Amino acid sequence: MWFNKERIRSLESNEVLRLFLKHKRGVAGLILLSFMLFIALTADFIAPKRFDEVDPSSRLLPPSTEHIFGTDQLGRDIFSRIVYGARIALWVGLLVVVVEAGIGVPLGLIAGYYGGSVDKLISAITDMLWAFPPIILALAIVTILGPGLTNVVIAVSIVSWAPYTRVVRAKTLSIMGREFITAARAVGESSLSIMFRYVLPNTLAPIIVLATLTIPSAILYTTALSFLGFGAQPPTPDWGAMLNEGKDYIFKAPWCSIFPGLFITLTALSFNLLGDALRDVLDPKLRLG
Amino acid sequence: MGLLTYVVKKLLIGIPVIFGVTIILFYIMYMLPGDPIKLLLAGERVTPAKIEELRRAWGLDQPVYIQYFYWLSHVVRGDLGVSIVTKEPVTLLISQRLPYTLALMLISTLLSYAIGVFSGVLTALRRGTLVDSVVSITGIVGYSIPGFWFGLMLMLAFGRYLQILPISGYEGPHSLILPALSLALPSSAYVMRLTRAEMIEVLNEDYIRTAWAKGLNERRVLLVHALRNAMIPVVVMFFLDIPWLIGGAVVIETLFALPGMGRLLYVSIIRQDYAVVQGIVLIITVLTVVFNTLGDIVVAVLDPRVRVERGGGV
Amino acid sequence: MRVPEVLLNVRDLRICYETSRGCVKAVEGVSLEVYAGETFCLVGETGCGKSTLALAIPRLLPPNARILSGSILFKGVDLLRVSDRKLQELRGKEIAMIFQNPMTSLNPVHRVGFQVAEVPVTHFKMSWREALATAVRQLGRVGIADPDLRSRDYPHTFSGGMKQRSMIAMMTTCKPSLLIADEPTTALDVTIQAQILKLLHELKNEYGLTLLLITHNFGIVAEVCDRVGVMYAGKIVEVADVTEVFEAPLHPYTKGLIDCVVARRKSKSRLNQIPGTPPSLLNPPTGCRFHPRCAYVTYECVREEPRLIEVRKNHLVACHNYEKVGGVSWSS
Repeated sequence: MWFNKERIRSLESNEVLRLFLKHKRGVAGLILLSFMLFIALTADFIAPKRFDEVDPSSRLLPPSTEHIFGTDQLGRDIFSRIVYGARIALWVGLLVVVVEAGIGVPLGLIAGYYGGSVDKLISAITDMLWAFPPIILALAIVTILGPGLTNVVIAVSIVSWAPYTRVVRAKTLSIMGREFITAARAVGESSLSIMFRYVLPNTLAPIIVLATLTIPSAILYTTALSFLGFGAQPPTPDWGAMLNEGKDYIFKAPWCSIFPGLFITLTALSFNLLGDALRDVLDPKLRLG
Repeated sequence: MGLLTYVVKKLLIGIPVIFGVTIILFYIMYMLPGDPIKLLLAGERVTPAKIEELRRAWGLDQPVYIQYFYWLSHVVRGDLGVSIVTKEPVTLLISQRLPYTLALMLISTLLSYAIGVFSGVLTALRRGTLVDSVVSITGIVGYSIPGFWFGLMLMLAFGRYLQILPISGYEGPHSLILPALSLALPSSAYVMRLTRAEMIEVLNEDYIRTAWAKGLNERRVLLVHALRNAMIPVVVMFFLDIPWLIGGAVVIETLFALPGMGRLLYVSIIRQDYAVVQGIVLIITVLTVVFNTLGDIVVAVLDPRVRVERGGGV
Repeated sequence: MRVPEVLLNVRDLRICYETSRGCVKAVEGVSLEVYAGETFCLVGETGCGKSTLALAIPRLLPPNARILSGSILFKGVDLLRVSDRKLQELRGKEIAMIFQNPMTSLNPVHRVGFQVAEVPVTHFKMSWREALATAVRQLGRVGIADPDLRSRDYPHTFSGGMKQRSMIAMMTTCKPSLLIADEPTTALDVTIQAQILKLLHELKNEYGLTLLLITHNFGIVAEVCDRVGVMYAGKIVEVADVTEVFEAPLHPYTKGLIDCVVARRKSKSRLNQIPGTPPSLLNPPTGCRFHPRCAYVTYECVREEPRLIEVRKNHLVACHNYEKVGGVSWSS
């Protein structure tokens, strides 16, 4: 049937690429991100030592040719730990976003599609959850579930799925008014089918932009929880946990604290730059909520 | 509807919301590991008979929803239980610490919004220039930096090199400067972004052109017409942000060893002193609802269009 | 016969808009005279540059507009070279402008009375109390019922017509010499259109102001205008009294436009259309810009751009072949 292929026209893919490359920030973000990906993927090859290799005779050594970022309080090579930590950071960031979107997107679709009291209920819950200070809530959840990186991922996801619901809901509402939806329903197509075949594809662009922009906060929250000791447990080289360990030696061995935080910043920065550029290119009307 | 009606409506909604959240809160607390009896006994040793007596007195043998009402009745009377560790009433512990946290939040919010609004307006007016680019990039970096790492770096800088500010403990209001800066940094970057975006959008509106057409001078157009509109979302965000800063306060207070409520929360979680945790989370919840309601009210005061009844939704 | 005083004298104005694809030449060498006390209509299709020209007078062009050359003399003062301070003095007091879209032209967070009162406060240093009273009077004058009550309302409670009336009140409080109206009725209902035009006409006579009306609607032209200027692709192609324009248009484009309007009135079976579309203002055609669509085109038209010259009394036209166009009277 003719309306099966109906899709709201968006930019052609090579037009997207062209606009993107004009955007210097986006390119910078991409380069930075590629760097992080690179060290994460090649960690096994570029790390001179294992991340848990303890060496009591080399405690708290400043940066040198042997240990380019120095060593920590257990004599572990910080550079190696940073490099393995990249894996954790990227993986955790990705996981959080996947779970967040997994909760938030369907809720947004349902709220926008059905409207009425369903919408009001979902919106009310989303609003309430979002209003609450996320770290506190995440702490509460982690306290119930117990420490560990998995639980931190769950906690942070629960705390921040709201933007996804909001964005998807808004987009869904705007699509619902269009004729091809009415046509599809008139022919008797099931709600689920309509949501998946027509509504969802049109929400992909804002979701991608949002995903890129929420990874940094996911990373920042998870490292904050690890910094407090609730996330990754030793000897996992999570950057936040490294900061937690390093803070006790801030004056004697500042390198233990400088490098992990620096890398957190750079990783978050890369996603922020990338997301900024993506947003300008794909949907100039989308703004930070 | 008028402003007053709107405000009253919002306040009335706030009350069931507080109740609703306390229910959720209570349920979360109920799920926390740890025996509630321990909370009450605060470590005292008693006979099993006494334990049973207490169980019945606090309704712990009753279903959850009954327990909720028992708990609620205590809360309303100002009794939040007793700390296992220090044996002091939770209410006392919190009231000792709350002022420090409030002071910290106030200072950091003011700092954050002062910097954020100023640079936001500046970059909006100088859009496309070098100043705009530089400040904007600084902003993006600003909200990529983890607040606690920034705090650590400040500690390093001021503890080792420029020894002019205290970096640990509370010695007076100046002890709050570095912590407030750490809290304010990522927040100010967001504020700047929002202000800039709003300002740019408002400056492109037709009514600004009308203002110029009337012969008003630049200052008037900017302040009375442009900023008056652009600031609405920013002011609202101000109120909504304050509860969010409490979260950050937990980390920052712990880092700078400030005797605030945030640090107490952290410490209590570690020590499994759940009565205290419960009390603090309750206070935070109430504060969140209060500030959100205030934000809703402020929007209506500033923007007359909002006072018209609209359909619900996010 | 009295020589009419020239209130506004536009000389060889060139304006372009900077875009990512180049500079769009919106106004190309436009010269125009508006006499005191008349209603002058500037007519043309969308995109012909008439709004740009109008906005240029009080210097309210968007930031990407570049005024390349020319002058706009208002009572002898060149508005393009005057200081910002002087410009602010003139705006709202001597030169007033109302815009196309009343829905977005009022500030949503201030009361209507306040927005009107701002004008006399700024220009006459009136006290707020006096200014608000003046505002209420003016709102009443433009036809808003219960002006005292309504002046305390916010714009979103006003209908489109009421908003436009409020704009008119705002801009006429100081009894300006020149009122520029950029398509003031385009966004309004037809019934309201007539009312607004009537109001403008009344105010013009009452305050003795000069009205520069921008429109694409010849019906409006026929009703209210004294003189007409026709614009096409950034240039003025014909200027004449309103009766001359309808009875004896000399430019092929004008003739084409009139034919469309009149044909409808005479309910002919077919609508006369001007074939083709308006040209790109980035790369306009050589010679006369209308030549690709013109029924009277000759070789000269492609080669050389016609200048705007007075070929009959008070009738200017920019066409090499205007004699061939020569009007057939439609005034039956």
